[in-house]
Amino acid sequence: MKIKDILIKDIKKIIYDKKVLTIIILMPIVLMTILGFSLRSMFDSEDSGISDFKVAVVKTYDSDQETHRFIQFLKNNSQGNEEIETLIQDIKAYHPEKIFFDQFLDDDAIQEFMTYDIMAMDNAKQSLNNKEISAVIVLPKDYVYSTFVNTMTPIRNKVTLEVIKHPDKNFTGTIVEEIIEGYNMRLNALVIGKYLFTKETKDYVGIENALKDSALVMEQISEDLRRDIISIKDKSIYGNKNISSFQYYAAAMMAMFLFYAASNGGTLLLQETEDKTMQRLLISGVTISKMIKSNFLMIVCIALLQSIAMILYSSIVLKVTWGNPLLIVLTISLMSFAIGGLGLLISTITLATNNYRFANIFQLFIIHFMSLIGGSFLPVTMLPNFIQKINLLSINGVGIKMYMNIMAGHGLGTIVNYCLILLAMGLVFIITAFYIMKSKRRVKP
Amino acid sequence: MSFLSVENLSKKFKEVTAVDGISFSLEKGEILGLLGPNGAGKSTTISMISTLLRPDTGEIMYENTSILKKPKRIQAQLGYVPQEIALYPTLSGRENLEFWGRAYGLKGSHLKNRVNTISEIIGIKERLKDKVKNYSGGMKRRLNIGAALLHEPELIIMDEPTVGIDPQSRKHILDTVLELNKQGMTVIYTSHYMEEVEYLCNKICIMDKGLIIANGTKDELVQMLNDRKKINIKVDQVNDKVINTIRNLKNVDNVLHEDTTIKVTMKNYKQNTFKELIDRLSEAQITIHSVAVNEPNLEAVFLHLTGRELRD
Repeated sequence: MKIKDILIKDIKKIIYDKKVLTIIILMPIVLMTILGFSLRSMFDSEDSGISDFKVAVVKTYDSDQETHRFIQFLKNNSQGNEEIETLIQDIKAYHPEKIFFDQFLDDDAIQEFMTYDIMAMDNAKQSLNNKEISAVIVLPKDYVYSTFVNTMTPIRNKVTLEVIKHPDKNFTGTIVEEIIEGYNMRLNALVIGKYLFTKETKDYVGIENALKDSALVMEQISEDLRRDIISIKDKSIYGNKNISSFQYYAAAMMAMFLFYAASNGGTLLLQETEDKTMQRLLISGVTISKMIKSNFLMIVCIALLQSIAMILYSSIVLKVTWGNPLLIVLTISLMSFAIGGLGLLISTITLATNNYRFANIFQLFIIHFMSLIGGSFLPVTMLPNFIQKINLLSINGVGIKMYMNIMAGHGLGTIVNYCLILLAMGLVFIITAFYIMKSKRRVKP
Repeated sequence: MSFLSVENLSKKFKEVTAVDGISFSLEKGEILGLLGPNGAGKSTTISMISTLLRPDTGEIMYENTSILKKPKRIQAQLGYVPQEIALYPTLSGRENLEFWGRAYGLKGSHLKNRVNTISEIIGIKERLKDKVKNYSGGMKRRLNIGAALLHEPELIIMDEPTVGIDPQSRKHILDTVLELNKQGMTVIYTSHYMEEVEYLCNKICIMDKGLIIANGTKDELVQMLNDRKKINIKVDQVNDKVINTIRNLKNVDNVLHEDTTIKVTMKNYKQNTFKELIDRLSEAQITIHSVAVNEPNLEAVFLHLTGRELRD
């Protein structure tokens, strides 16, 4: 007898069982709908995504004083060179504030979703506490002077732009953080490039001649930053989409109810023994290892069918956008593999102990514990720290993280570690199950 | 060489000896009955023959091949009907038959034809689409047998296949077994119903406490009782004096009475012993309403050998 024949029979047994079908298909559908509607405010009201949010910019420096200081610095080091005088005239057009505000924050691409007000620190903090703004960008003391030095001289000063977020505005706050980080990184890269250029040319033409091209470098910086703004905007649209309550609970319920496929499938082998069908199969020459392999494949198939049903329902009825279909297929497959392994482990334990105690404990307690730490009831960010730390110990926790990342537009690179975790989980379960079967195999007549 | 031979077979479960060094053989086309009360070791014996259990000692030869060394030799030719309904209740009758057919390697149109043939033989063709859980007890039993017949086995082992069913279904099953045997199938049939074994089997092993306590044809087994007969006499009145008088008669082994029926067990039954018994009752001025002389049966054989009734 082929494994396929046993597999088809096992799948039929599950599909024909209305009680099991209700648990593995109907309940998650009902729950994802109810939770999606009832907890919509929790996901949507506080942080409305990337459209139209405000930030405050706090200047902690005196722009005129720092500009003057830098000009003085140039004069002191130029010994009356005419080229330096020309440069001083030119650089006013490439003032760091002009680059940051006019070229960067005022760019149409940024303004489409983020506007800013320049505020004093106290007012900014007050606005942040009142949730009127998503974040505060703090331009540090010496920002203008140090940026001039970095861009116009061979010397490099450290410039760090700080972002203060509100915990309830985590999503948009993170976008601001990423935008500023991108700005910092791009600026640093250009400064390093300029530094290398200046260092090399001064050896041949002297420092003054090397510096006379700084205006060109500044122009290049502002041009590059403008270009980078576009790339930052692209990233914010496809890389950090806001997750709706329906999206979250579609993934969360799907991940949770896969456990029931494992627990129901995990009782089938013992049921076969009790019904004496296993004995009959053994007498007909079907090996127990064939039955175990079929059991594993059956749980994998049921988990796949469950996932497909959930995705179809949530996409059609709840209008949930799941993201990259290939990554979703990869996630479903790995989740089903891990669930198959877990189901097989339950099967072998129930068979070895010759009772349903473990399967019952799994269904009554372990599933709920896993669901809690995995974030199927509430997003793990709302749970205590110690639960967040053990979140990845549960299959559903890993799965939810993968689905959230895919829904948010992230690529394979972001989820590859989670893929490996699921693969490892599945393998550990399967190896343990085979070890149990090998050491405790027993079939009573 | 026998079709199937069992030599010195033993099986222990922890401290309990389920089968204790039994030996018997079976020729092709025979129906062997394993008769014995619950716990006699019948199911363990057939579990070993059907390769489900490995014996602690002994050998089982099927057509000159040791099935302990080559279990597949018998598996392909064996139809096994377990005592329990070993079917999938949520699947339909057809799905069950197809599945068990595939278990024995049947496929395609051959499988379809066999399912149709067998469903006709067991009388469930009209209900093939229904789920097995909706079948009556008798139909489930018949399907349980049908699942073992699909691959046209040479040997069929039936472990108490009529437990808990109505007389009509039982009759159908017994007749099916006889019909299969007529077609050349060899059968091992276990039961604790003496009348079933008497009706079906041309060779009988009586088992008790893991041992075969008697082995032979029905006539050979009854012969063991050495002309013991039971006479039931219905009279108008019974008193202790009459009972004692009968008990003292020559060749009377035991006398019991229930209301106005006197039950006499006689050893070395002869016609003149019967006449003497009637004379004593007449002398005591007791009116005889009826007399029934019961031929000895397997029940009596078992009682004789173990001191217990078969269903104790």
